[in-house]
Amino acid sequence: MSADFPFFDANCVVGRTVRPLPTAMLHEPADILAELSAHGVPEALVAHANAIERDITAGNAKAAELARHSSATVHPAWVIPQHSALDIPDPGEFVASMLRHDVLAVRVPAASYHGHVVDEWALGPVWRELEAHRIPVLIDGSDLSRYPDQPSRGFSAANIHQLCGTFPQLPVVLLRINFSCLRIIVPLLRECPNLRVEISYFTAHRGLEQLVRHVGASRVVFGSGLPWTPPGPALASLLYAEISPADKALIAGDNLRGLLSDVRR
Amino acid sequence: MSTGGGPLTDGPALRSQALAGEPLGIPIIDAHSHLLSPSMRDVFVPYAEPAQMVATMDVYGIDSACVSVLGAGDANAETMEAAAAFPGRLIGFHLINPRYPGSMLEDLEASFAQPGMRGIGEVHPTSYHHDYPVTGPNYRAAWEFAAARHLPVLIHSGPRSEAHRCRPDDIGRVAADHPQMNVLIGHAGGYDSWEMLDEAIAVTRRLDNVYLEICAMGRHYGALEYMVAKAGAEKIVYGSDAPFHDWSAEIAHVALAKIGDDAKAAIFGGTMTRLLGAAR
Repeated sequence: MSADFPFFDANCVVGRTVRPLPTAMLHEPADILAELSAHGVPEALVAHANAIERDITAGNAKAAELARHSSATVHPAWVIPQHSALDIPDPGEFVASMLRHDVLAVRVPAASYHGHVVDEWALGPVWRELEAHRIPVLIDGSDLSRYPDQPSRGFSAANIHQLCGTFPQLPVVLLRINFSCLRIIVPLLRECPNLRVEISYFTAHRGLEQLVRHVGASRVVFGSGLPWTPPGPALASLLYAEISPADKALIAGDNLRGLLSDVRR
Repeated sequence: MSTGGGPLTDGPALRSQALAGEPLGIPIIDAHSHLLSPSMRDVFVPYAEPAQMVATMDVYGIDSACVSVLGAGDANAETMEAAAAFPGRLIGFHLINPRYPGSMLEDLEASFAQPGMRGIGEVHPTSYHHDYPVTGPNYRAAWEFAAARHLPVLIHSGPRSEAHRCRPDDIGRVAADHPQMNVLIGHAGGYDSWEMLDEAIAVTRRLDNVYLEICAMGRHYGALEYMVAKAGAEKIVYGSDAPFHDWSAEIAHVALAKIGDDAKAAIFGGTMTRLLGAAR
């Protein structure tokens, strides 16, 4: 049962989006959190849509405010630009501010411009500071997360490999891997011990069983993909997977919980 | 068990079973699945042997799956063998390739001499498969064959970049010309485009013999509720695209949708039972 596992959503976005779906798409934080709860998911790492799509500072403030006024099961994630040298000139102060707001993870949408540049000089000094504090970085938008028919964009698999190698102590979570990535993601995970993958979009046939078999359950985290994708597919893929209950618990939430508890304040 | 109290208010029985990870206690027919080799060029496909497919179907409580091969059109014997090995569990759909029109009718007649073959598909007009428009004359023999036998015909539609090959309106033209065959618009035409989905819905509303098959739509929040509201549950059928995709995605899509259990029953198996029953 979903309630038997400590589900913790690693990929949840709240707030009004620029291009809503023509369905009854949810926007209000309370509605999205209620939707998660109705699916047996009581805990979420939440970023704000405005930060992802347009205004990072204003969106991050809303995410922190939401967490401040919510129960302890709502955790804010702040967005930073992929290339942050100009935006975050004082990494120490930025991370200190994060920690003051109990923000224990950052989310990095693939840059529309120069997204395939992940050298440290371009990413900016904050990435080394994030690594020092073991703050998880959620990578949002990569070749491994697009539907194969969609055009290539953002972080390539080679970029992720480079990134993980440049910052070997930085926990990196690749959001919404797709169904067709198994041949790449398994060797990538083997090469990069600091890499995890999130499964809101992962519909590979018996894919979870494959990941657990080849790299272990400790490398996989649950996510809903709300508000763009429903929580059901990832939930069902885990609940029906033929893996051990202990591995299900890791994927459902314990892995993410562990990453946040490992943050050095 | 999660009870929530949130926005999910309809279809409680199947929702509970899905959130418990239990086989769903309802007749389920998958209208869109495949027999694939694990050594496919572009996608790694584990557990794809017919016996493994059936074993995985049991995990979810899927009674039957309509399976077809992909490729050149010379491997339908694999479908016949699988359907014969698992009668009633794997239902054979015959792949047609319009690039070989000369042997199309002969191949169809050979296939449908076998008891396990019940439909045609997945017709794949896309540039990355047969690259031949669904309205083209090379399909005509197959459409006439299907109409004479009232067969269900699954036709791929989408993505948007393939609209010139298999857009829903063009599939509708084919269906309108052959009202005795039942056409399933693969992926509900939507895939990556709400405009294409709306077009497919309009076709199903206009034509009695056209249905929406939903695989790949489960990744869009609220897509099934949207389709049910506009087309009606009786015009929608469950499909997975397994083993390209796991069966879980669309199982969850239907079982957890905010629609009644009656609507879920129609989508999961009611409508396909009727369509397969009509086939001669």
